[in-house]
Amino acid sequence: MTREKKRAFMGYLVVLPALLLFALLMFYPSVQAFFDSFTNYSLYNQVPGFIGTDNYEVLLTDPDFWELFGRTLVLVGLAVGLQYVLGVTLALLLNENLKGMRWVRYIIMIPWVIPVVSTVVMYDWMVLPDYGLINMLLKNIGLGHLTRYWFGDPAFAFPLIVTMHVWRNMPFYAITLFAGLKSIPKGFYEAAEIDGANAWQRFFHITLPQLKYPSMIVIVLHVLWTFNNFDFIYLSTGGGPVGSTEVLATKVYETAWSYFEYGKASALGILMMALMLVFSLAYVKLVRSDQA
Amino acid sequence: MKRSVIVVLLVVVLSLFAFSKPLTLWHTQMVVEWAGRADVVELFESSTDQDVEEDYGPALYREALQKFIIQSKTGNPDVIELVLEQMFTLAKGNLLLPLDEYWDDYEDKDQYYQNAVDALTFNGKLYGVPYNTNVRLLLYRKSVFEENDLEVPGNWEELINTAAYITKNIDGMQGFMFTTKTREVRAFQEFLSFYFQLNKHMFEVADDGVKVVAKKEQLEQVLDLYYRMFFDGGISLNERGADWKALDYGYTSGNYAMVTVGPWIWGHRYEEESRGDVLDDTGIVAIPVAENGTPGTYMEVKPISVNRFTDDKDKAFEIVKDVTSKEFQFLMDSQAGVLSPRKDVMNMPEMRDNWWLSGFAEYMDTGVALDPVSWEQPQNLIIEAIQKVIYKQDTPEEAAEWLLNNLKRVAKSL
Repeated sequence: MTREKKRAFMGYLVVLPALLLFALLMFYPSVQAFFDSFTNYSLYNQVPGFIGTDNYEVLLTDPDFWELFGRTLVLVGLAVGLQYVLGVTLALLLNENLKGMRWVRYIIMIPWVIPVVSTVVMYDWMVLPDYGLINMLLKNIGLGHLTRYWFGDPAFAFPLIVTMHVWRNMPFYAITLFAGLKSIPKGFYEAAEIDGANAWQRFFHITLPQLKYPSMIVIVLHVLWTFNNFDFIYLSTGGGPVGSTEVLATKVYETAWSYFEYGKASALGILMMALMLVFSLAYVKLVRSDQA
Repeated sequence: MKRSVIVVLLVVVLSLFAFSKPLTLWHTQMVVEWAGRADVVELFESSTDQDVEEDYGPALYREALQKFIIQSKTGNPDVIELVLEQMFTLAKGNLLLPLDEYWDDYEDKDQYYQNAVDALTFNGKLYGVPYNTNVRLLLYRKSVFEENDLEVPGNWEELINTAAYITKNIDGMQGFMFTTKTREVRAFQEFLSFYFQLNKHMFEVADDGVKVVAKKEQLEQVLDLYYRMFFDGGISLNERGADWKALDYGYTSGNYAMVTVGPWIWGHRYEEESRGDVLDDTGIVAIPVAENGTPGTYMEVKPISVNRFTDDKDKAFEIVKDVTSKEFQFLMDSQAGVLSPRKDVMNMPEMRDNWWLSGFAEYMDTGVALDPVSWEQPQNLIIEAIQKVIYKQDTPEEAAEWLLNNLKRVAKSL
């Protein structure tokens, strides 16, 4: 064996445990779900029969599916959009040499490290009728007529879900983009200033293009996470009231754990995976082609 | 020769000892934090003769159900504490052991109230031993009623009017409260507490499958109660979509004059003194009865069941006996403030002379157990129908028709 082959062999050997673990924990369940999606597997029918594409046909011809798909896209668009805009703003602020900013860099990560369940419990207690913090504050400032159970109001439940997403994830954007800002050579800005570029021009023609790759990473990651996110909604509103916060991820859960229809739930999961795969490939290709 | 036989026997015995694994019990009340948890765990560990792992599983019923479905075929856990709805689901999924054979030989079986045991029967077989039971009743603030010269409501019309009067006229007090959050099991239980006055069954389990026996008019009548309670002023519209926390803590905070709950709310007195004061000021009566109905309310029975795939059925049933024994039930139920399905426990002076427990026990015979079907889908449909009404998406009549049609649609899969 040549030295080069030996090095390659060692390389494969080193990544083998990780690959095996990946295959066991990710690949196997995905493949199993793919096969289950063509069966009528359920809690009450544990010897599943092959039913072809029936599950997919039922889902794709169900108006509920398209309604939930639309709501999921709105959630992703709003949450990721707001997170990005606020994340860039915060990153620019962190990049300024302001007093105490070092401490701010540590503190802003707190929402991101708090478990989702704690975040939801915290929000839930804050918006409870009568003795929730928000309602008590409203009462104390003479706005008692505005008090309500905010998660129980169809007009506010969805915006609150978006707020929780933004509150939790914005620090991750800020820190990632802040790292990107640090890697932009100062010479770019100096040259632009000599050419007479103002602050907005420097931001749009230097900062944003230079943040393209970190932006791509955080946006792709958060589109995937938000699209698949289940816990924020399930723990706070359960998908209600009157279905106003129901999305595809909560539908998968309901199909699997309320109706115990594992075949149908797998089909829905596979559809979601396919949609996200198409998005990820298209987005990465778009960014790369732009770069070229 | 003798020596070799002894060595072989020794090896066999040692290997048996080495390979015998402890049994597993999942019991939420031995995990979740509450005032009596440590005493209950100590009693179990000191009284059982079985080798049982000291990890008592997930703290939440839903999590326990899901994990049980996934891993029950490994034989772990051997024994599980459930809520009734879940027991039917697992029995239908063929994951629980029928206990009739063990029950017939069980020396304490005559100590159990028959309606509690009957409630745990699915397709003619017994799938659990009951360890705690309760009924939903109307709890009201005695001082509020006395000070305002109000009569405790006896029917639905009086309930709606009294609730509206209190909300309108007593500052900082709401007359009544319903939980109406999506997928909130309490919302479904409250609905049934009123529905059971009109019909003691929602489904009929026949040889050819499950049939819906609820009538559209009955569903409409209950949904109309919800509509009027919110839109006639008994409950603020701003409290729509609230869950059990809002109801339980709202009542013991002194915000509501009347609620329909079970006896567990007694435990709030250990959290704050002021909540204890509210509970001491509480009257317990039957839920107001519909003008065309008969007394009836949701009866909860919690079972201890055995995994069908346990390695040792006999030992597993011994654990069931340990966590349903007279001493165990007395300790757990008296500390939690709930009722025991055992006559010998309920006849103990500490239980019999307790005003709270005797207040609930008085109405046990009006309790109606759930029909033996998988309730997950009906539960979600009922809550959806309630929400259609209270968010004014449908009239009670339209929502009742929608609910009935959907119950019929899913009946065959229950």
